[in-house]
Amino acid sequence: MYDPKLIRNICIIAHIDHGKTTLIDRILECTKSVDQRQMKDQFLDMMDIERERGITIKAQPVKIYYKAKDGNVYEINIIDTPGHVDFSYEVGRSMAACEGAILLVDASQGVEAQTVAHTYLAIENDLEIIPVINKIDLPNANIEETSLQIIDLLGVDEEEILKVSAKEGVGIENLLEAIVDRVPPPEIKDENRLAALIFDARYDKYRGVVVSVRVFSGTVKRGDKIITMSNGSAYEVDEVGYFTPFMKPGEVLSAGEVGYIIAGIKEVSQARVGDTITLQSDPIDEPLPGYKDIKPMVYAGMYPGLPDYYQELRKALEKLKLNDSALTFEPDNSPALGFGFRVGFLGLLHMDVVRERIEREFGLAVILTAPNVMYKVKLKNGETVEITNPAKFPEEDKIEEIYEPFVDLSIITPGEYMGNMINLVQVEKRGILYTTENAGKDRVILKFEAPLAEIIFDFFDRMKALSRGYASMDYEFLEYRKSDLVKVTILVNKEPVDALAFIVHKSKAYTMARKVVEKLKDLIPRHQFQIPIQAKAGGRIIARSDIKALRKDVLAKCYGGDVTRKMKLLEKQKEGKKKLREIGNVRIPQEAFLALLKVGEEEE
Amino acid sequence: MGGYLYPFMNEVYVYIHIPFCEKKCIYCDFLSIAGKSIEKEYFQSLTRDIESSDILKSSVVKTVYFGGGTPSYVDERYIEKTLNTVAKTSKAFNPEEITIELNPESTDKNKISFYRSIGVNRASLGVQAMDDVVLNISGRIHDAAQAQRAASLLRKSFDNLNLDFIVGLPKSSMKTVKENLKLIEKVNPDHVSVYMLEVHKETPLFSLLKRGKIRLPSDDEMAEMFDFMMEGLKGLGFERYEISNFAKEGKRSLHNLSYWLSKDYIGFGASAGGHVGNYRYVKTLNIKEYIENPFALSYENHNTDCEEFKETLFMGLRLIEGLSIKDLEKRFSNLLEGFLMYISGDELFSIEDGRVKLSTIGLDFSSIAFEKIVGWNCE
Ligand SMILES: Nc1nc2c(ncn2[C@@H]2O[C@H](COP(=O)(O)OP(=O)(O)O)[C@@H](O)[C@H]2O)c(=O)[nH]1
Ligand code: SF4
Ligand SMILES: [Mg+2]
Repeated sequence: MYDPKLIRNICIIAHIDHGKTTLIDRILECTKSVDQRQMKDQFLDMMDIERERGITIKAQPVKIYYKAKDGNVYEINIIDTPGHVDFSYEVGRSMAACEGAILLVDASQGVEAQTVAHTYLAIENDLEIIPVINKIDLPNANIEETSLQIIDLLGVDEEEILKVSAKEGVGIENLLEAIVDRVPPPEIKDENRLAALIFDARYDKYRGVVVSVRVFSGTVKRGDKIITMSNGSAYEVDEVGYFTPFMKPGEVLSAGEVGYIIAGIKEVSQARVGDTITLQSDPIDEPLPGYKDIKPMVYAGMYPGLPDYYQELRKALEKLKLNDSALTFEPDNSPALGFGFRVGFLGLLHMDVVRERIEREFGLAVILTAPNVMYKVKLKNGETVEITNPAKFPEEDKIEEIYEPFVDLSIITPGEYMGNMINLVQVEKRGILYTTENAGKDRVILKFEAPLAEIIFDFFDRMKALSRGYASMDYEFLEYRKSDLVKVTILVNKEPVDALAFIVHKSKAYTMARKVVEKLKDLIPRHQFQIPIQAKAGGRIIARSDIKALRKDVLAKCYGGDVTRKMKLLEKQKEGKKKLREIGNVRIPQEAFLALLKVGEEEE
Repeated sequence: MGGYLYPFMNEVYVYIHIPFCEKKCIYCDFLSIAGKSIEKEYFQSLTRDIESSDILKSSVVKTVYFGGGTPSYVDERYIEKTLNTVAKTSKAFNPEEITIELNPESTDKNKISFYRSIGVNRASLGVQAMDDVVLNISGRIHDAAQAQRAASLLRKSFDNLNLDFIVGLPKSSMKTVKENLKLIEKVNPDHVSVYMLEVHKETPLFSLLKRGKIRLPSDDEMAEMFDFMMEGLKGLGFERYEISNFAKEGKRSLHNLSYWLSKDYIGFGASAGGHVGNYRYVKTLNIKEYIENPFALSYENHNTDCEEFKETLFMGLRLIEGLSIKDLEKRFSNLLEGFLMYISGDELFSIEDGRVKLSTIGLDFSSIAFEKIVGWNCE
């Protein structure tokens, strides 16, 4: 049965809501791949977690069989990709598992900026791209304009663009034919040793880690002793199989195929996306290209909403880590917030997702502090320390030099917003433009070197705002560079609050300090007494604001039928206040600890 | 011996809830619906409810209070019938106070004389704000002129009149409260209620605020308006006797005092609440359900001593004069000391002349003071 010439591995590039789920639904129907209605619903539900969870979670791959017009039955594997810059490394690895990509564009919306970045990634990965315009049934479908945009983007001919209505099932057959015709079969190298690319790994309560792989050479089957090449860990294969989309055990996975491996792996960080699996007894010489050990880019303090829940928070983080290889954490202790963790994330979206999952899946309220990058500080005594927590920044008189991470930042934007983008990065964000390239008819790629810290804080939103949503970005770590940084301490009611301290470039210290104390003024509720908020740097107060005393907080009415209801309400109010941390008599809410992130918000 | 040893005290205060309004106000969280297409069915159930009350059958009725909703909106003959049912069912009926709530647009001469003729002796008019812009944006269906007319009419027929105001409605300002005081001066009511606006979830106001479609005066402005009202009322001879209530001498609301003093009161109608001995209940919050089964409850509890004590404090400390420590000692001898310790040194409370009460600061921060009471563990 195994014939690599009859295999096609593809992914779908689509902006949210452009119809990916519907299209896959139609394809499944058309190829009768999932016969039971109920199973299909389940499968599509899985796809929709993606939206609910904020575009980060990948659906499982799906394998379908399609009997083409040429009489052959083809095996088509559709691999999902996450859609955010925090995860662009993973997107790249997913694409590396494919030979083709469907570029799906909603005819009423046109090509969206985020799609462009992914398309370039697909081009970089040498994928055959099949452009598809969806929703042609809509009365406001603008097929002509959308075609022009696609032609600009890909340089294809008009005739190469397929037109479908996923909803009404129009053009699905043609699409399947195009996949078979245009996407090349997997190239089978003259190599018998196993090389399988890990493009996804997820933790299953019952089975341990299920690793999604694309086999490039050799075969893997139950009983094989395998190793993950980045770290040399060895495992014995319990099961291999395919996604139908549900896991279905098979005999063997061979070159060109996509499937899964279960091998007693305990947590997903041991099966890193991009890593290569090979046989222990007869390993391949070189791992597949492109593997990177992804490290956290940002760090934030995470504390239980109620101090007693430290152990629960630890357990929650440990559980999440089983399924999230990018997550790191270590215990931390803050005078203001008590026992908690310093947690490393890929980016802010990743941070939000982790927080949300802890709150939703584990029912734990957490307090997060504003995130920061990792600094390297060379001390006068010659030692160099790595700082992930501003509160632990060394005293100024002990510091010789400070280094901060720089990234290689690319922004793709329509030409008309080029000026805005350059201004944003160079004037506001301490970046340096080093090259511009054309990308399509009216698009440019701008490349900068910029401090990571500047790209994390309110950059994405500013970029979107200044480009009317059209620019998209991507970045990659470059190197640590010497920088003129200073620590700013915040005092609330005259008490320093370690969890509010931040590191900032000297040129911005005053402005940031002023913005932060102003923001805190809004975020900390008024109390019965006046509260001064001060920012201190280099031993001096550099900004101050005052929270005026609250004049009244009255329970205006209560009559006979209301007694229990009103008492319940107050109980809830009291519960709510428990989430606030009391520091020297002042109740500080969670949002205040993120003040630094919010200072940019009103700039628009 | 204290009456609490016997489940049914002799005297009861009767509340009757009329859950119909012509239109819903945007801030309202009372149980009421717009329109009165089901008033007939509702009053039928109300009659059943009252007639079956064992407590009523063995009690003397001290006060009756028709609240809402908008009692003046429904056909006044239903009010008469309901009042008759209460009189008939009770062991003895000679109430000192019978109150009805009215809204300006449904107040007229005929209704007033009808209410008087059936024994209603206290009127409570919902004015809310003497400012057309404020009334309009708040979803009230009357204007200031109508409020003034209604208040004057009522004044002529009732020697016990209350006017209700809300401070802090959208678009209100110092100008609004000055106009309020002008009306009070002109009409010279016996009693005034002034509520600081509370924003409740599940009201249109809440979502309007959340979506930024509407703005409220700032906390400081609200405080200033309330204080101004308070001062003005003092100047006009009113005494503040409860957090939000002001009365001329001898004109405190007897009915509402029964709540604040945790006496025995019974409620009829959807969402009405009662408290008899240590037993507390609230009727169903669903009008349709009430029509089907007027005995359905949304809450019921036989309070432990601790719960009863906390409720007693929660209500009683709303009174400016607070509660008598001697009286509390009689009912809660083994809990009182613990409570006095709990609040000792707290600037929100004060103990003076044998009474425990909210301090001046406590009155301004009653929400926090009550939160402390709710959070006290005496079990
Ligand atoms: N009119 C029309 N609507 C479509 C078509 N394809 C998808 N949709 C609708 O577009 C919305 C988003 O589709 P979905 O498949 O969830 O998009 P996804 O976010 O890319 O997975 C849904 O309401 C679909 O019903 C189509 O061909 N025509
Ligand atoms: S009139 Fe009173 S009960 Fe009716 S909706 Fe307005 S505030 Fe609520
Ligand atoms: Mg989807």
